[in-house]
Amino acid sequence: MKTKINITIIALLALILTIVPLAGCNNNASEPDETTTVVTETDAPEPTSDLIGEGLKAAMLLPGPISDIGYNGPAYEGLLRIESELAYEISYAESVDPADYENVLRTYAQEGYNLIFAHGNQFLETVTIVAEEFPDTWFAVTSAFTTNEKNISGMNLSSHDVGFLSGALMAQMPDVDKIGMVSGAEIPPLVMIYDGLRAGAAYINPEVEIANVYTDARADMAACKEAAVALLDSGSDILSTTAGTGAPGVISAAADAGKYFVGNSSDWSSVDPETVLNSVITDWGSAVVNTATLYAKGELQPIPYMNGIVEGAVYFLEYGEHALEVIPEEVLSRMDTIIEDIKAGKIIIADEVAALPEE
Amino acid sequence: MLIELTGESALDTYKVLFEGAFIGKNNLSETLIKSSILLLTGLSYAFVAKVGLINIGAEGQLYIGAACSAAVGIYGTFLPGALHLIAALLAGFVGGMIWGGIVGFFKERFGANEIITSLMMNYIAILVVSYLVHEPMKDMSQTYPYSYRVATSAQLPRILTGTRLHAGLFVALLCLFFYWIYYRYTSSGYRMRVIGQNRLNAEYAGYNVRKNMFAAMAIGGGFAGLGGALEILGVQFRLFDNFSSGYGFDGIFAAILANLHPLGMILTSVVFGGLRNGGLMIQVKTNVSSTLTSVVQSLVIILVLMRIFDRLPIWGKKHSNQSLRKRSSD
Repeated sequence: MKTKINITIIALLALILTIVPLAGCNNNASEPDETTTVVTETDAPEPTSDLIGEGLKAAMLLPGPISDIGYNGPAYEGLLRIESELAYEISYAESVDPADYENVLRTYAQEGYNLIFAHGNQFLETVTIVAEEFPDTWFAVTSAFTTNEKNISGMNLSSHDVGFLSGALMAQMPDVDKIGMVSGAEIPPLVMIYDGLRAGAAYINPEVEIANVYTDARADMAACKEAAVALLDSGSDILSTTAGTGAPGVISAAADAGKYFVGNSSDWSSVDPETVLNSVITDWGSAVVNTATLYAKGELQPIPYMNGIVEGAVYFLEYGEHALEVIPEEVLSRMDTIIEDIKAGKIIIADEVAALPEE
Repeated sequence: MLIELTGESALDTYKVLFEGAFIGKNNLSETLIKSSILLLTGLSYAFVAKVGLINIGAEGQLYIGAACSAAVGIYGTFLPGALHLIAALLAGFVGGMIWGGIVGFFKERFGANEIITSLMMNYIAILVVSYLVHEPMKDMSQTYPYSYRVATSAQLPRILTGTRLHAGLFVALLCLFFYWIYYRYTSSGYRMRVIGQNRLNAEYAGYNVRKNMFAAMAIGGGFAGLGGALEILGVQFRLFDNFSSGYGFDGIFAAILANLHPLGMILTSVVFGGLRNGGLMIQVKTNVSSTLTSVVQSLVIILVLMRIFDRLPIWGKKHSNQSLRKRSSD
């Protein structure tokens, strides 16, 4: 009896499940014209003048989901931008397993994609292998500081620039003699943000002291708050951090002590608009667009590219209402001058960093 | 229908799934690579299931096997040529064996429920590997926590040029062959089967039930460990966090679906491997998102599970399954 019921249930389920995809197929007949009209509609109002990517195909491999805020999401936005602004034909694979890197890269190359973005340094080893086999395909690897000097470009955001902007702002705030920094893990990009911050502060005032604490990659909010409190106790007047997810801990420590905070990588003002003065944004999307533009023009070189303030990939957000109240007028205008000087090549951040005294 | 909602053609998507799995030299090899690991983790389940135990620890055994074979592959460079590869493979087997053996030991000595212990051991194994790649085995030249690269002498040779298909396929088939011969033609295999079918009866007949259960757990673990070795020595060449993506669990499905039948397991492993690879190709070649791809894969699994396999005469040996169920409800 029991088994009989089971069988009927299974049969029913099977029926439903076969019908589901079949129903999909039936709709298929009527739907295409609908979807195609939608596509042409979105294509039509594109006012962009030079669709230099016409006829080119770009693909992107992402280590995580396209829906995140800090890393994969912005890169995917960039991919969408090169589709709409440069007329590239695009495709992407998200949350790719390490076991599948080689397979996905090779498939894209075989499918005739001209430019393949691999969003993360972890792809570099595999890309180097696959790039050998496909000399006519171009690869752009995020955070790659070395390439094969043939058909791989490195696509980096200038961490020095990120640090420089925040350092310059923090050093100018009234009554700031000592800047407290809660660094994430001691890995190259984060060390570079710290160096940039020192350079930025030193550019304003060589006398400003900087205290730094390294946490590790898994530092949570509690651990970061602890580090931040220690920095405040030792006399820091303003805080920043590169600890990513631990940042709210640092912000909350600053808020408790009535001090300010300057963030980076994403907009932290939503955590506490009273405490967060501003955040330096690192925009992977612009880096993607820059790379694709160079490629379409035939100017892309197999070197590690830096995308910074000059390239429009690193910038401060608009200052919030509260920030505008507490930041003195002259600081704001000096920041504008600094940014203009950087863009005009009057300030070269790499030189400023190189001029720093040894720690 | 879900796919239609996203504006892609469902029929095309399934076509891409199928082609991505089986059409073309490259796709087929990728599928076979995945299948051979699924076959081994499936064997890990099947071998143990024959003595009436349930081993869901294949994932953990795979991790430990991978760690052991990576260790030998990286640091055992003093071994000459082919010996290095064999030692690395053996290390994988032994690693899995130890991990499975621990579960077997608890079962034998304290009667601990092997479902729970084997499941828990998975988490321990994954974290052990995480520790290894963050601390002692970490390649300092890498930003990410990777181990050093396995020496070339310990890498499985590729058997089809232009693809990643490696000799691990033969290793997996060899293990399957052993499984088949063992349970079909050897007396100790027969004993294990008797234990699996009726434990009390076996005890009455004077078999050492506990010893046999321990041995089965250890050997089953060894198979899964070998699967981990294949992944490291044939595909990844480095050990790192979460490298497996659920091979251990998919292998269990493959084994159950085939009703533990050796030939059936080849087929189900290939189907599951194909689904993995085909699913990936859906992402690459269409604009269907990865989560929806997983839904499609799971749907296909359910369909395959219900519609085809139950009706084929080879797998129609439902009575063994049902008698198991009956006994448990007694």
